[in-house]
Amino acid sequence: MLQNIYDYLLLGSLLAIWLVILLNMVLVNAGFIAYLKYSRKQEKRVLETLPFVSILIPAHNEEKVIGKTVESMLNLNYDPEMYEIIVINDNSSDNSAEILKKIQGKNPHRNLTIINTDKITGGKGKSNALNIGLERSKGQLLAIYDADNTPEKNALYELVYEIENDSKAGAVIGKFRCRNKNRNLLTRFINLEGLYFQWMAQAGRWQLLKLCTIPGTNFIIRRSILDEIGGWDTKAITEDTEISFRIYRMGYHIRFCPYSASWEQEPETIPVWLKQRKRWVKGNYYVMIKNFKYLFDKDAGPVRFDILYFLAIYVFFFIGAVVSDLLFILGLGGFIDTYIMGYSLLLWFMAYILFILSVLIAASIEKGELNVLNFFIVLLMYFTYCKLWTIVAVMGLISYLGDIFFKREVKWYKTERFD
Amino acid sequence: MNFWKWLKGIWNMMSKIVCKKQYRRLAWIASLIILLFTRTISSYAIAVDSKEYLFYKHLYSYGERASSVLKLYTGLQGEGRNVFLLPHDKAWEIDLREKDSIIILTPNFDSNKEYVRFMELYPEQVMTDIELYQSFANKPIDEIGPILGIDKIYPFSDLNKLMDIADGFYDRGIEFVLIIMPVYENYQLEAYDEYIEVLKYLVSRGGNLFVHYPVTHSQGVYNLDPKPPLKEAIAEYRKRGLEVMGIKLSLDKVFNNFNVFNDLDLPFLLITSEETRINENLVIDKISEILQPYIMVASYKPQQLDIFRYKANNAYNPKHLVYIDINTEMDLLEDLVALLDSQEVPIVNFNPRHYKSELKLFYNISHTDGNNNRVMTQQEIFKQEELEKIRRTNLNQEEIIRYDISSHSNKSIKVALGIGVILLIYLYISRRINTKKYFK
Repeated sequence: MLQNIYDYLLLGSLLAIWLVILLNMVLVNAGFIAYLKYSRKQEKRVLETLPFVSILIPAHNEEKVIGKTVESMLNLNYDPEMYEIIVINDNSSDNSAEILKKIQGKNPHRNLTIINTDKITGGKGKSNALNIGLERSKGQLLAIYDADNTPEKNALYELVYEIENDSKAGAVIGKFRCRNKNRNLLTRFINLEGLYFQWMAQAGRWQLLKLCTIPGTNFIIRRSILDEIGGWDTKAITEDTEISFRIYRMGYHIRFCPYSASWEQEPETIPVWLKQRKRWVKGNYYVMIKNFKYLFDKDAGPVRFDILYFLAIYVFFFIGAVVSDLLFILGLGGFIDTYIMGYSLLLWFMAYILFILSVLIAASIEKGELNVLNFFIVLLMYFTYCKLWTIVAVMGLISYLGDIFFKREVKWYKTERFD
Repeated sequence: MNFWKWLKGIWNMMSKIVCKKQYRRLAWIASLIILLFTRTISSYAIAVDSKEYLFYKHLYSYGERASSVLKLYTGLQGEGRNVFLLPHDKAWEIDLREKDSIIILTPNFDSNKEYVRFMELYPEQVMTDIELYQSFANKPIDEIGPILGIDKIYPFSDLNKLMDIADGFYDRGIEFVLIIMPVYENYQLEAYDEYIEVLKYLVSRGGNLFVHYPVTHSQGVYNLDPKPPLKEAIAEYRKRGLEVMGIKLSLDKVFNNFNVFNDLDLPFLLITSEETRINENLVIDKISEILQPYIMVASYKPQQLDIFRYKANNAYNPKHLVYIDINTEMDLLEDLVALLDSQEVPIVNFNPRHYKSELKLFYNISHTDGNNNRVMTQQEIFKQEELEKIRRTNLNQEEIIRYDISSHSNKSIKVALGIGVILLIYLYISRRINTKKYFK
């Protein structure tokens, strides 16, 4: 028997943190195996017939980035006759409409549709904008890109190739890379975080369980699925996660395609980053709670693991991290006493080493990312960026609970863009 | 945040400091201040390390049984002075620095021609014994009296009487010296435990422990090396929580047998009169260098005490101890104390804290601190614990059972280490794979 409640809390938080670390190590292993498999694929990736694809780009006050995005969409290595670009300029108050009109004027023969909405028809978030685009689209396959994305020329082709060759795939996701990674320390952290998440978490889950979650951009989905589920859930502020669960419940899976890459702009300041990540956290809590019942449903398939994975990260790990930090501070101040002995600092240090190694492995997979500068950034990341995430998780949870208790309207926060 | 920009910025700033005139001037002024400061510090250091050389011709003057040179030397060492013995034939070998001084014991020389050259060469640095004694003239009254010591305490001595004496001293606020005999065997006996407890009690009443030089010539045992048994005896005392801080021995043994007590961490030497003459073939000046860190206290029997010296003006009264054998002379103690009281001669407290700077070369005397807290006896520790229980301040401590996760922790570390090795291999493989780094 332990001496007091603090002992239980400390032991519990240690257990939670280490369970999640071990889980992540499993994913890192699986992710690396997936990488080896992908890197060895030799077959020529040729599509005999190209299906018609509708590219949907929801945009709200994106004058800084939308021009570049649409230009890159027009330059994709895909038969221009076999894809259309639909930009949903959702209740924008800036010059987005003018910029888009100019581009449309320069490319009169291209399948470029601009839908301008106002606060009555639009202005209700990304999900609503996508639904508007869905109504106007013609393709059997829909590719979604954020307004700040500039995909590689072959990005769309690779996504189509994968979905055409896998009938069980309800959607195929590509990678997103950080376009402004060299801007400052924050963007460097985000860049490494993105690499880790995609190559270790996404590829790892795909390798083990054929399980992925849609990242919100650079993905392709079958129209039939959207028709069946009635489009995107407008209540969800992370519509990507929400739709991922729905796809799996329908018996499809989501495939990971590392050959398709798109470059996007990430937040360059901490306040913008905090707002974005808080939205993600809130959205993920919403999805997790909405789908919690499937945790005990055998027919739900690999969705159960995803729910568990979310639980592990957003509940066990973050609570464990916050509790252990609090106990440490209170213990130092002499406010509480814990009677656990035998905890070695070496254990903490090993967790730190595992974190460094796993991020470096993810970095080594991408061209030019494994370098001395990134090494030092990873060393720093644990004490800075990861701690920020703990703060975001707490803020997101409080905000989410506040929305429920005070019945606040869920608002979709648009990430600020930078020049 | 660009790391290289930061570096460049610092470099530019440093270049500005070096190149611009007003910054250069500032740098010069700052360097000057730093130099002056370090010079002051080093001067102070020199002042602290200044030496006094006791210049003599004969260790023993004609007809002397006890060396007056060594008596003065002992007295000066007891005052915490940095004194070295200097035979006259080595006078010109010393490196006399600005702050050093020479004390010439004039009666020790055959004529003043033998030392007058020094006085002419170093008029500011030479002092005669007369001048030295005059410098002691106005010693504060509370420092002229004797320190009291109880000698030859054995495990079988009258410990109850000893405790009564200690209580008496404690009531009068006297801090005294206890000279205990080294015990070489029977540490496991209960009697030894009781003896240790009594010593702890005496220490708590203001006693300071010194060990007696080993008595090895009894029972016909000659030429036995006394150091090993002495070392063991002191170690046993210290293991039991008693801090032995010095040794009582005769002056001849200080020079002839310094190897016995050297490196035993005994900073104080209670020096009694010579039992034999000091071997004059010894390299006295070198030995005095070895003895320099020690604090010497001249020690006398009550019969050797000259009570009138305390009353005379300008009398030289170096720090000294009067010791009484507990086994045979306890009646003398009362008489001595009564005599000192009647002559209004104060009894000087022996307090190691007064020798803090000298003791730095030895261990820290841990059982005494600014509040004069002494080592507690078992009875006192027990009493304190019971009082804490009554005040409910340590109740929980008795119930504390710590939950040990060290075995799980060790296993987890091993698992983590294994995983780490695997990840390192992955990193190596990833670097080596020739995939033209397709992924970007």
